[in-house]
Amino acid sequence: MSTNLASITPKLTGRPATDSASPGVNDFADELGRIEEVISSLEAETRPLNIEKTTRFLQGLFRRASLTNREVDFKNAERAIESAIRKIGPCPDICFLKASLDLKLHRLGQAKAALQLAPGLAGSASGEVLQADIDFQEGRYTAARVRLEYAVEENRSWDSLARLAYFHWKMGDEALAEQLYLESEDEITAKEPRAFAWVELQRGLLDFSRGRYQETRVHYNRAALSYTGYWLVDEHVAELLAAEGNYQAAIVLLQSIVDRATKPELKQAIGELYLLMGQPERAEPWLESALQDYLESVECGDVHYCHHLTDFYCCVRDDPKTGVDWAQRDVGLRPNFSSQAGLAWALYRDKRIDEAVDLIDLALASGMQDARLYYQAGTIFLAAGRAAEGEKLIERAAQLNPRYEDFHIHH
Amino acid sequence: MADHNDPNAVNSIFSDVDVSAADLYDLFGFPSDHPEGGEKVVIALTFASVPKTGEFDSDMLYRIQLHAGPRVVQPAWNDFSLDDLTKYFEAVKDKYLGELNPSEIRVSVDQTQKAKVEFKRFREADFSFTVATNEPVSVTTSGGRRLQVFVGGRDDAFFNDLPGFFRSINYAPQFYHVPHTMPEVRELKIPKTLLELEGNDLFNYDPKNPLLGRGVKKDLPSGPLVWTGNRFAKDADGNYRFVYSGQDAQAGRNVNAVILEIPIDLLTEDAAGNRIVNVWGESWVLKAAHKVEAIPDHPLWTEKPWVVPDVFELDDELQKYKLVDTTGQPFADAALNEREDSRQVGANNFWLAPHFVKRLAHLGWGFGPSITALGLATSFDHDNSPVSVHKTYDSALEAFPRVKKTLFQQLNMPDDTWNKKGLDIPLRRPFEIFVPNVCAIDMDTTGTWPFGRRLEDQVATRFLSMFLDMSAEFKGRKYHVEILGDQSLWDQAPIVPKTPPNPLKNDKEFLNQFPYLADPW
Repeated sequence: MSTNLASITPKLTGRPATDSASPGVNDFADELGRIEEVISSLEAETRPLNIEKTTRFLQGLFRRASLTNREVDFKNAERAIESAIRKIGPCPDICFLKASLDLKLHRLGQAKAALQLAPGLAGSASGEVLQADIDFQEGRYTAARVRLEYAVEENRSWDSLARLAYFHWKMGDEALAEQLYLESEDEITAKEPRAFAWVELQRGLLDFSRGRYQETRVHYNRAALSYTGYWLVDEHVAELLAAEGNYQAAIVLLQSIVDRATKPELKQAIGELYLLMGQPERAEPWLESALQDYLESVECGDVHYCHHLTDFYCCVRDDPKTGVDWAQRDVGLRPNFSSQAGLAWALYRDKRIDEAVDLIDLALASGMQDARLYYQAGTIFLAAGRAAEGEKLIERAAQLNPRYEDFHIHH
Repeated sequence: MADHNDPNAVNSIFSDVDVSAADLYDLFGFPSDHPEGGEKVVIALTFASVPKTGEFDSDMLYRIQLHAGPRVVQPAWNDFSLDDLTKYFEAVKDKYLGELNPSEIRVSVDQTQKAKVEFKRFREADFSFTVATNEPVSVTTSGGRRLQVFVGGRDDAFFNDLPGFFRSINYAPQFYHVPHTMPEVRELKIPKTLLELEGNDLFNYDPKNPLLGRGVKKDLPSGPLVWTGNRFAKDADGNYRFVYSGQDAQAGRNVNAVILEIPIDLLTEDAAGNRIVNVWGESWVLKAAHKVEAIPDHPLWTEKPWVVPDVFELDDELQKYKLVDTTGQPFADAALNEREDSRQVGANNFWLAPHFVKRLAHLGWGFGPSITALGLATSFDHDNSPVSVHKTYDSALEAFPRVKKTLFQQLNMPDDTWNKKGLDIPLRRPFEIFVPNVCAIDMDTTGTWPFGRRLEDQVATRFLSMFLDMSAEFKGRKYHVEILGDQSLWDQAPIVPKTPPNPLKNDKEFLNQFPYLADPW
């Protein structure tokens, strides 16, 4: 389980990206600083803000939250957006921000409602793209593809291209996905380094999902070089290190992220890595802390950790009954292949095999080409006594990713 | 939070990405007035002074392309048809996209604010040099030719009532906070007009809010953004109200600029025959993939060269950049291309030719009736409509008869001073001016618009003159491109304010010597 640290790129040795190759340069901190300045200057205005300034203020809050991933920043953004809508009515830009935020937090019903709040927004180009994201999350894959293809035809923006690339990646057309990611990158200028880093991460993830770790590393390295100090890059680098068996380096990196961003799933990952290292006493505090964060979020009315709770109860706590509860809730919110597979796995772990087969069939019917999905399906089919089908599915998982059993983080 | 393929979290439509250093403003081009050292052409490309006046963004590349050719023999058409026009555009297109291999000047400024200037495909071997910014520099080429270069901040040489123009086309973002999510609510579906429309409360001058559109914006009203009236507005004295004010909205503003004075014989071997110097400018911004040197060659062409076939038409340097803006003719983009990013195609705007016809007809239905109401003759056929009309066309064929005269009439000049050598030079016509989108400098003229573009040209007013019937007369003289700048015309017109639409001169005196544009404020 050891990896020769010297053999991998210096950037990827488990040091946080803040210690970047360009000493003194921290793009993340610089961008955050600029956003904070905008927020502060608008907060300091004594006169009531007009719609344009209000939108800029809310946009600043949303961008800050997206950048930091801090719960408190999301809450601030959410409160301010809702307050603005109450005060000045359903301005399309503000409703768009609300829909974006709701989507990010898995509140698909609210996201759809927000798009309908402002006349014309749902049918606008930006509304259509957001609607495509919602379609995908709700399992309407064809509708999502059609909308995205239309969006790309209308405007070959980097983000529409990246969305379409993701769709084709998940549907198994790697070549097309890669081509679209390349086109997406070609649209990104030097003024948008975070966008470039993000697309590089996606390309890295694509390779990672196929077990191509060297190629993954190249993309992560590009991401780290193009936008320094970004915890999201560190998170993926840590996952790569862990998948390669370099658990200790991964833990160090993950700990540095947990200090910067609200990421209970990374606490869970640290705990799981300690378990893999045979150190349950060090694992438990991390796992317990992750669980508390998940539950706290749910108690506050949030739903975006339902999927993580499913995974946690099935894979960490060996409490599949509770896992099934969370999975059912998740499927109710987002009836897509991922939540269906999560529920199927929880049912399987709870020995409700027939129900698990029904659910995993649904997930497989989506057409997603995902090694983990095939592995889970194969395992469930084997448990159901359908050995031939089960073996074939597991074989398919290995075809998609020969290293599908390596460690991965539940992002 | 989970990052479920969520580009919005990275950069949404509200991105505050600043690429305004790529925002090209104007391209000036005219023969130098200084004969010493031989015949020279002056070119000035101006753009937003970002990050600040005299300081340049090191991610940008500015590109000026030039091609010298003989004066085009005007088509010997007996009658002007859309078919003739289409064939003409096709022929010009073949020339620009085929045989033409223009000379080129590239300018980029590094982080120490040194400007690298490259000359490509001129009559001498390609050469480049580095100059300090904000200083005029003389350079002698290996062939002994002397040229002058200035890369730095200047006063904006454009003098114009831009808010008046935006009022004339009901361009909402100049007056209102238009949501990012509603790009369709920019140029509102209200007739274009030179005279205020009765009840057009969205855009008519409001004495209670005189600065609306001039720095002040209001929230976009809810409800239908339309006009339902049927006449021009008139005051108690029976006067129309002009949408223009004549004020210089650019007064006191600066630009960054690349200014060059180049011997014509560096550009062409046959300087005596190739009297037309076509010039156009472009701004390019560095792609993210090339921002960090440690990143390997851009994967797009090293890994998947089939993705963008056009990429191989660009050289190694340009492949690292993305084209953002183009400029050739003033108002070609703002008035005719509707400022759409996808139409920033520069000289290669031939595919817009049908759109050009339709757009000109759309503008004509707005401006034509306004001109008629003032008692002037218009080149646009608006069926004697008593008021401006909002009309769009799906078919160039349908629009063509309306704009035929506007497209093909010769634009008279106010006097003969433009033709400094008294040669047999035909007057220019709009269809030749705007497609391709280049500044075509006639070296045998003064280079005043449309024979180039001199700093002192009031091009916004001259652009409007296209919609006048150049065969008509005012005070015994044929209409001409400067007539709307004639105060006596406004003095007798039933309109307030009695002013030419745009200021008559720049807010700062131009210089008599290189770099010609005035010092910055």
